[in-house]
Amino acid sequence: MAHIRLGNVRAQYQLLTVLDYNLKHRIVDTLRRKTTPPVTIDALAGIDLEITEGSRLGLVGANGAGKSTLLAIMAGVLPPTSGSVEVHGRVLALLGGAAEGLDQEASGRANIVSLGVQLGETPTAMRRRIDDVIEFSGLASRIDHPVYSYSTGMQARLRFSILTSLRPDILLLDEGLATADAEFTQRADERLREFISSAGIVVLASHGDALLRSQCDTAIWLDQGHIREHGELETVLADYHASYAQRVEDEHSVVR
Amino acid sequence: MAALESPRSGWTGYAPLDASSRVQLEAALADIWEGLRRWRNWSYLAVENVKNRYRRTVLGPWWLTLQMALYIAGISVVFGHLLHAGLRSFLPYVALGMISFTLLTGITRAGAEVFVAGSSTLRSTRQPLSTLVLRDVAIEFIHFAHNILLYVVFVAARLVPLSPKLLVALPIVLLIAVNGLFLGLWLGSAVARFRDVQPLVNSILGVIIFFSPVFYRLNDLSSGIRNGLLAWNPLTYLISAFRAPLIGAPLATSFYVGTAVVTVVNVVLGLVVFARARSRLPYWVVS
Repeated sequence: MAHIRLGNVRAQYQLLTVLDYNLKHRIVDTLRRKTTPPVTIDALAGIDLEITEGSRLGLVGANGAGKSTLLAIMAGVLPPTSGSVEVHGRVLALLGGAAEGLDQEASGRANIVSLGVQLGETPTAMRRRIDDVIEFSGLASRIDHPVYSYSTGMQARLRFSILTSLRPDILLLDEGLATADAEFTQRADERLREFISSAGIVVLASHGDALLRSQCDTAIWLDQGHIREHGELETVLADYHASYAQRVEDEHSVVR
Repeated sequence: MAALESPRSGWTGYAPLDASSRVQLEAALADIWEGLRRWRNWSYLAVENVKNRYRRTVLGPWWLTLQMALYIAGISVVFGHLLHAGLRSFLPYVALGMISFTLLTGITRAGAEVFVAGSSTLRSTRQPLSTLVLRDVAIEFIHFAHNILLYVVFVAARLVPLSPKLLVALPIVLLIAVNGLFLGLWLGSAVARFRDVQPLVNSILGVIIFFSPVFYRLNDLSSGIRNGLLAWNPLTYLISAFRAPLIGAPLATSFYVGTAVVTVVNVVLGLVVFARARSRLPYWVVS
């Protein structure tokens, strides 16, 4: 059973400026015995969270609230500064990195295997999925051509077909998954629904209410590294938007 | 269905930054073990990488072998003449020296940039960090496997003797791979933290050919230079230990003691530095 448990998870970043890498600056600073303490940012300030099988969790919050950091820690690509992280189940995290891209020089067929392998699948498991991916992408006639010869839409279709052929227990998404061109969209929606519903746990960070409503039933509102609210999706969204509207109003009244 | 992550291994991903050094060391060992266990993945990616690099050429990676052959021929003729060495014996000496030198410096160069170059993978996909190093070491060994064809040519042309002694080279090749893994773990970490290390490494690699026994034999040097400069170059031992059995030269004890010392130093440094650096690497390579 898929399961995620976070205990008092903190994440701090030390921000280095460009000058911290500058030799002249460092020598001069040392001679003057002047040391500027680095700026520390609390991306997550003690998160306790338990996510169980069947959860469809949305993450909302302003930019810099800690959504991506929280996803990265659950994905295991970033260690917390302190706290405990327990993740049970096979994780697929689509956080928008180069590992999710296609290799332009290689054929579509080679990309099916490489992309899966880069995301942690074995080559054998990916070879078994080749036919399914080719069929769904509708690229059978072009699959042995190099990817640079594909149109942008075809590349998106191939990438989408490969990613949705995977079957993780835990799916972590930053702003969903783009679905190519219009003709493809209807079939893609169906496949995306199947892809997402087969995962035991889905966590989706997004600024799009429509996307969140289509995939999630509960949500967490993150605010400056804290969980401000955790509950039913519509309630959290309503409170989040109300606070935002309130803040905009306050700012206006200051101007006045 | 194969696992995106196997529950069998003890690999648990990153330890928190404030974990004890014992926990960090255990996590580092688990990372290396899980990396080795996933050999299918990194060897596949290594082969794909080489294929893609030469995708639109006819000769593919054989271009490197051809380039190597021309280089070796040029050096052997010129330096063989200067040093009054017979071409028949000097050619295999230079060739096997150059092939192992290229492997060793290739591994070093790749190891230095492994985590910086792999930063976007490292920041988006959960995987043992050692797989990144293993993939790069494997790429260098694929090139090596192409270059070693020149040795087969020498055997066929009877330029080198075919004796059971040549089997000594096999464990040395294995030790070079071990060195490559642990060197990548510590040097790659050092470069990720202190970016000046990379230009430093490249500067050293640019001149180290002059201090390695490739263009000349150790006996061609005065004992001052031999003991003063070459003795401090780790490559001297690895190159000699690999080359001597293949060209039928005497197997000096110092080559093999040196190789063992270099390996031990790399393994210890690799474990100590990687254990300390591992959890911090994703923060260091933020781009």
